[in-house]
Amino acid sequence: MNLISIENILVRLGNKTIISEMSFDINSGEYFSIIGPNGAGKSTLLKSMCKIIDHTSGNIIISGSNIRSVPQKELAKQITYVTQTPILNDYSVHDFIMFSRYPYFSSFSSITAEDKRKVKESMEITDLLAFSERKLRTLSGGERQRVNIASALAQDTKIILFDEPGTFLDPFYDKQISTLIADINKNIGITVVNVTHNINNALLYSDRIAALKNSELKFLENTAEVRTDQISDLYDTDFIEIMHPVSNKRMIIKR
Amino acid sequence: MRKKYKILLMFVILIIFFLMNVFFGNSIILPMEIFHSDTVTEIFFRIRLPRALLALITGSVLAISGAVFQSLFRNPIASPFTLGTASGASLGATLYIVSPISFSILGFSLITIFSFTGAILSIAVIYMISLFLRSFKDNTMILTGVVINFFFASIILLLQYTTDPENVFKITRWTMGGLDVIGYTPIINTSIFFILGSIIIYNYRNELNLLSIGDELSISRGVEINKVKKVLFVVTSLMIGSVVAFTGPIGFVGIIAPHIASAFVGKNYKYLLIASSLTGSAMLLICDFISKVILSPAELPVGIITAIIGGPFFIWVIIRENSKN
Repeated sequence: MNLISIENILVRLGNKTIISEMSFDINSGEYFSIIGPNGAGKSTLLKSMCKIIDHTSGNIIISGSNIRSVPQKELAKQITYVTQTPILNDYSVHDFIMFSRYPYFSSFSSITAEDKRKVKESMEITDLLAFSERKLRTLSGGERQRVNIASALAQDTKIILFDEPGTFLDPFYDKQISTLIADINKNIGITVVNVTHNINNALLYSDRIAALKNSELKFLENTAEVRTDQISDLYDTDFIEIMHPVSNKRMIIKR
Repeated sequence: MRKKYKILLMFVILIIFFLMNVFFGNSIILPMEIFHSDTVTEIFFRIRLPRALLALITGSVLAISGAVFQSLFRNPIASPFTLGTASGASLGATLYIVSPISFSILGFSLITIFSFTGAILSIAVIYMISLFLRSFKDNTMILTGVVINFFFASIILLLQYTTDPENVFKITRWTMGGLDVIGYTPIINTSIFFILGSIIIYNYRNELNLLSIGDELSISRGVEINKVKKVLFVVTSLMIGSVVAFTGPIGFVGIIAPHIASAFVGKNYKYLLIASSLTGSAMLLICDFISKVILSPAELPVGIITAIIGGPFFIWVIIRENSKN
């Protein structure tokens, strides 16, 4: 079932076309990766889906509603966004995650039992309970990215958009975050849209992969059907396919 | 200590400073002496009490506005002064002083209306320049505020230079910042904006928390950022305009108070707004007390005291923020 439909969307910022007339669907419960070279429009596409950037024309339909006509607070009950930059400030981990319950807050009411339950559950999933009162500034990059994910989980949405979540992380934390995202998709059933430069992570976890280049959709394939020549064309670099000697899974690496 | 107890402690300190302010000054008026003679009663109720109440309201307004601006601009030195809002209000008031007109609308004197206009105008200019530059980055807006400050200060100097000596004195005295009012008209005028503004801003506490983290995060969590920012800009500008019309520009309270408050209760605006309000009031009450007694029987304008204390604190804030990053 289509959860997100992108219909002929065009995004212009000033005179520059960032996304050029693009259409595709994302299914409910899917792990959907978006790859492509720098400046292809991947992050802009992601930001358009949650109205951080307004698209110029075309439609983005989420759960059957055109997002243009959905109030921001209602949209935030459906879809949320995890940035590549780990948040750095003086809020406690608990407070920061609680702020994500905003779509469910009303001006005069205080925090409800459901808010507290959801925050605790998100911290359990991301293994952050021990960090509850720590200030974000005192955490490592990987821990902060886990807080980011916990905060998105606390928002209780059907869809989470990840914008290169492993960019600033070392291999240990990168793997930890990749596994966490895959678990969220598999075990909780949240639809994941993940913008990434890590082709092998995309091959390992995704149901489908979309590739963007020069503001256009170059290909959209089931992961098993993505070919090495498509990746080579995408990045203008020669790639080869190998089998991982331990996991025996298909990998695409630079020649 | 729990945050609620800390806020209670701040409230007790505020009460103590308030009582010091009303009972001590050039002369001491003890509570049992208030009704001893008509003169003492008059001094207490027509001068001391309104002055302390104005200090309470003004300190709170400047501190709340500072806390709001520090969130909206994600900058620890954002305040009604660094952003030019107070100098906009000052320019409005100066224009009123040099103009020959004098009347009131709906009980608000023209100086208040001029101040409002100046405050809103300055924030509108910053907003429009940022729109033009397509940049709401904190530094762009702060730098625009600094330029506006200089620009308005130059116009105030120009007006001072070209007006008659009596007005020159009025403007000079007024720009030093002071709380010496007589009677309750200023209290009634400012308290309407203070109470309504504070309630509106407190209702935006959740948005302020998210906005202090970032625009993208705020939008993805459901905040209509443009609408919220506009409401907060207008409400804070009206609050600032309403107090600056009577007190003149009183610097640094808007920067300092939120930092002291956050050292006690943390950054969460649920507590920070209340703590900033109490700290700002307490600060201005104690600064006013110092201004009354330090050269007694003469009085210093309170703006001089807040600037002397605030200058070094301002530098400390910058050093602290740099060391954090």
